[in-house]
Amino acid sequence: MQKYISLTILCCIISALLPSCIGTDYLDDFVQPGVRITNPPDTIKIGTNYAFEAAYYNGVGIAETTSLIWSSSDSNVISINEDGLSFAENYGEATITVSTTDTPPYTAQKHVVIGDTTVLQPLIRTGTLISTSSYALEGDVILHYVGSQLVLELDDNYHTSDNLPGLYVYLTNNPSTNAGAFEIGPVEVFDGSHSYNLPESVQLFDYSHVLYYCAPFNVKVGECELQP
Amino acid sequence: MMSNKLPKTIATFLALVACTLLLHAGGGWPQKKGEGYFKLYEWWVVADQHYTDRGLLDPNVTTGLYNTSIYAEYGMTSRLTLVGHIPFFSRATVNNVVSSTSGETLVRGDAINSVGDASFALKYGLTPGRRISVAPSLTLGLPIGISSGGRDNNLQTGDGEFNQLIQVDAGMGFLNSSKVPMYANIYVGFNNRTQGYSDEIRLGGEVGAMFMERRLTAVLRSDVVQSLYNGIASGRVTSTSTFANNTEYVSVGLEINYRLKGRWGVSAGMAGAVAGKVILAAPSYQAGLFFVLD
Repeated sequence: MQKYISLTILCCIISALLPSCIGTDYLDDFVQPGVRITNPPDTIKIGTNYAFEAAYYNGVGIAETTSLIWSSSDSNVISINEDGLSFAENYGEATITVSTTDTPPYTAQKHVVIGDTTVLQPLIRTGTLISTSSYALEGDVILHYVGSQLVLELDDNYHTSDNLPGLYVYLTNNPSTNAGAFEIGPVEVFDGSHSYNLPESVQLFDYSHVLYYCAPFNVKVGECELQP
Repeated sequence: MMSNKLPKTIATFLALVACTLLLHAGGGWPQKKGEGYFKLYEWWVVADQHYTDRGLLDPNVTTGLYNTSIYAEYGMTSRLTLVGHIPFFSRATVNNVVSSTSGETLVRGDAINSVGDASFALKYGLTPGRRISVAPSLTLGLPIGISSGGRDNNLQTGDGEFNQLIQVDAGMGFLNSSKVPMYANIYVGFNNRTQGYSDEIRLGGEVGAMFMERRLTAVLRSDVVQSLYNGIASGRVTSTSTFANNTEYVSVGLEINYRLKGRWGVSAGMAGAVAGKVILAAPSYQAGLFFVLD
């Protein structure tokens, strides 16, 4: 019977070692590349400068340094140089365009008014959480400044499953993965309104989505696209 | 969403539950005094999806669990049988996650090796010699595996809790209409779990048929686990340990045992959850060699 024992032990070792190697899963994490104006104003005070800022995000939602071209639809109203520094020449309205040097280029535009005061776009972004899995996730989201503090608020109608260990909330430009995302923290509230204070390093227009993700086990639960 | 190039993914925190799908054996029949049944076998599951808390299927990173175990039953007396199950080598793995866009590794895979959770049981034969054999048992689950291991604490070879399972089996043998020797066994049990896990009600049954002068036994088995939802939801645990609670499932398994010459035999089987909550949605397999001491 020694041969049976040896054969079984051998089979056990083979079956344990061969298939138990660490394999590879491929994640389709493509997102449309694009450029985004990160400090859009609604109105610029006549006779003053305003420095536009923009960022380019690649096909996996990561910010990359690239050459940007700034232009104004009416330089008699507002002029802008190659660094995004504009000057409000006259009362009126115009569109600022920023483009990459790609062919075709990725572009972003902002319609601005030249007036008596500079008014930034309302410092609030909103959205609605939707589940992209079979786990519950719903509720309205507000990203806004309270004083100088950027706050992510979840509304009364927020609800998510408490059955996933290691559920985290992120800000990201790629809702397919938590790679490259800003980790806000673990989810500790599963129903009702609550909020997260964000650090100064995070700005209002840095990210396009709120992401709920079971980090230890790489299970995406859901997302919220922030508007505007 | 994951691409179709490879299956998506699974979660180790679910895998341990599936370990139980093939473990119970013996039914309502205790071993005779001095006799026993010993089995050395490999059990494994690899899964890239799981049943969620709503009972639906979701993908997860591919995870595997591989146990090399010894299972033993030994008749202490004509009524009292000692049962032990020791996964002396357990390996848990989680795959790499690679971006199909950039080719970069987003999450490195990981693996841990250790002993797994062991269990020991005492089974007592209430009705020796009767047509229906009834045997209550007490099983103690010993948390000697790793409940939170690996780089991200997401790998487990044990659940980290000491549980006590009280179970009653009832079985009977019979000949079917074709004079094929058969047996049937049903059981009901209560699994008292600790460390915040919910207690469980366990039900199940199996039917076996013997062929080739009783050298070949085919077993069809089904198990049901119902959580009592009196523990802590996984998401509300504040420790670093990651585990899934309130697991439920209905599993179906098939096992083939072939008695070689003498006391030795080979065994192979598979089982899987056909419905469930918070459990892997993949079949588990086992293969091994058994020895009958009689």
